Amino acid sequence: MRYAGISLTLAALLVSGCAHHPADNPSDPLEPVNRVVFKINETADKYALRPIAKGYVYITPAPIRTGIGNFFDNLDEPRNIINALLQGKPLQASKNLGRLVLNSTAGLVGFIDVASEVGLARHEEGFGQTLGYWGVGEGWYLMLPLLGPSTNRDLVGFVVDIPTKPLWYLSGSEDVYALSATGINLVNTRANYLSADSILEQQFDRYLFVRTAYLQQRWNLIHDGNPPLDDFELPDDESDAPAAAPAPAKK
Amino acid sequence: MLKKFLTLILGFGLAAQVAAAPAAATPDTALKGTTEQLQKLIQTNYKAYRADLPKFYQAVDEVVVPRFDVPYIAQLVLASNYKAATAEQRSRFAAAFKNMMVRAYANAMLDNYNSIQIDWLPVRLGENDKTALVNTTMKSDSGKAYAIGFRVRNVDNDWKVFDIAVENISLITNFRTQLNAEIKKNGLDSVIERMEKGDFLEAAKKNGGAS
Repeated sequence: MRYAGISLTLAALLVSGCAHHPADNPSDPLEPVNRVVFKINETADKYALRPIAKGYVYITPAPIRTGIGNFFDNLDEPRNIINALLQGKPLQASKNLGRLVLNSTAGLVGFIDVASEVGLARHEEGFGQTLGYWGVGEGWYLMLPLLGPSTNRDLVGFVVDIPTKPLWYLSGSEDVYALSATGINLVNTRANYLSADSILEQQFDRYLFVRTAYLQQRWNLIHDGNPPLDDFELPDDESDAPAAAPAPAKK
Repeated sequence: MLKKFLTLILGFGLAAQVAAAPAAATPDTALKGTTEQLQKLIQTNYKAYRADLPKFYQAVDEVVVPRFDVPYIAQLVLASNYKAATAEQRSRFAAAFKNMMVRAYANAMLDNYNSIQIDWLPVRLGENDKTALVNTTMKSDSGKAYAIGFRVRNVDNDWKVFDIAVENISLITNFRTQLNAEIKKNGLDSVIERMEKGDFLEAAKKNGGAS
């Protein structure tokens, strides 16, 4: 009941998200606030999450880390199945169902991704993507405390997807398992991105990089890896002979 | 007379050769050719390049850069700032941007040239076959696979790269966003100067990005 109330409130956020904005010119009215949150997130990462992830990599062999990643990916399959159905992709939904069945049994409760070996590749779907598939725009870009980059649309998607997560159904005294599982998932996921840190450090403006990267990633997922080719909004008459007609200097 | 005739035949033959080669090439074979050329160069000169990086950058300049449509890339990155820029600013920006890219990516290529395996996926042709998307998967020794997409366009019957997407993150979109924010703050000339000096990366590290 309380959950329904929350999602209704969030649905109001969608009113602002009608059209799609290109990733290089998104709607980011909260940028000053987002930048502060981004800095706090970066600091938390620098002094807590990143060192923990590094220590975790040091003490955990790679195959075990892959197994843990697979385990949590497998828990996402109900979400993938439901959202594939919501987007009218029964074939994709049945492939995801096949993954869930295979990996939960032959894959030893998800630790081994046997489904990928037989040609059933991982395919991520979520309610944020479903909304995008239905034509709902991203709305505002959001930088959430600890959760990272999102948009109005993807925040709604995140909340709506919560009941599809098996961990959500642990209750009472089992809360401690849900919490530690979430913690392990967080550290394991962060460990996978350690190699990307150097790319992030090379950017002029990391906030803008993360924003652009996130929005493009989501746009790509909504289109199942085949987004429309971006023509970068250049009028045709300008696209050739760039140095031929110098415009007067404006200063 | 004979001399003139011979020159004519030779000239014609050369012209036909030059015209025939790119016309026959599909977007992916053009890219494959350039990639293989560079890999061979690194293979034979690895030690020399390691000892003399400027020499390596020069080789990359000669082999790889002609495959890229540098003025067009500069125009796409500058976007709305392109119109207001003078011819000199445009060409200086293009050169500085190109050098920045060459330096940033040449090192990565040198480090990984023999541990990377490239799978070429089917080419997606754009409108009127003027542009195309060449998707590849690059696998490193560690087993990690990265999706790298090349956007190419037909320039004088040759395919030239104008964007690279690494894991769906477009180079153009990324640099357009970041550089135009810098230009808005400090002006185009200052951005070009800093790119030419090569101190952009250092400054970005110190500032921590957010301002």
